[in-house]
Amino acid sequence: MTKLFNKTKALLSSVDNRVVRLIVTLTSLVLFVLAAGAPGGLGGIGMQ
Amino acid sequence: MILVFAIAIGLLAGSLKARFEGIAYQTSELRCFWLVLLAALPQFLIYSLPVTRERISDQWIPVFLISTQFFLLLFVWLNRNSPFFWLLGLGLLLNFVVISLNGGWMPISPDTLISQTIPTSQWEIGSRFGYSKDLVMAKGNTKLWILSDILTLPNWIPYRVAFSVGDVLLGFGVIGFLIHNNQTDKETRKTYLKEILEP
Repeated sequence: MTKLFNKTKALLSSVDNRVVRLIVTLTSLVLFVLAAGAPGGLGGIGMQ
Repeated sequence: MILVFAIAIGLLAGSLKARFEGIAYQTSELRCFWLVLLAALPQFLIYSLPVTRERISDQWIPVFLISTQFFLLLFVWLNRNSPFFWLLGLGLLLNFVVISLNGGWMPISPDTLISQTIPTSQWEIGSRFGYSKDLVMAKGNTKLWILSDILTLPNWIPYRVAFSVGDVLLGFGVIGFLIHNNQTDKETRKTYLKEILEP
């Protein structure tokens, strides 16, 4: 159990804080632009 | 989809710029991400998910669209100090104004649909276009027509799409935000250079 915990801890600490922030920012931006400009599906903005 | 493409362009340009400058790539931190979720989730149910979008009556669409735009406006306001968010906010505001003035729908003219070779059997004036946010409206009946979905891509691009001036500003705002690098201090620059140069 301790081994598993240490492994998980090591894995999580290896994930750079910068990368996490970038992922959150990109997710926010994708959802933002889809909601603000292009909620429609297949054809792109305003089109089906 | 075209705005998601703008994000990809911004990310690529921002990463390349950081590499040329020899600094780590880092965007500004955005606050209150949950506001975007509050806006995106209902829109996903209304416009994208087949099970739900077929069951929601068209009369509720304007209510949902306008209320979700409020969450987005609040998100932009809370992040107004982030780079290029003034441009994102302006684009959002232009879309919000034209949608609000036209009964909660983004107007699209028959001329635009014809120019994109959409068969007349697929649309009708005064009706919603597919499951999109657009309502087919004659140019004469559209308030602030100039801000509606009147722009299209050149014919040589094999992708049918119509978009508004607000969408263009949103696209440039996103690209500008992602190109702007928040990481400019010399210490981080030195550390980053050390990291990439030393094996």
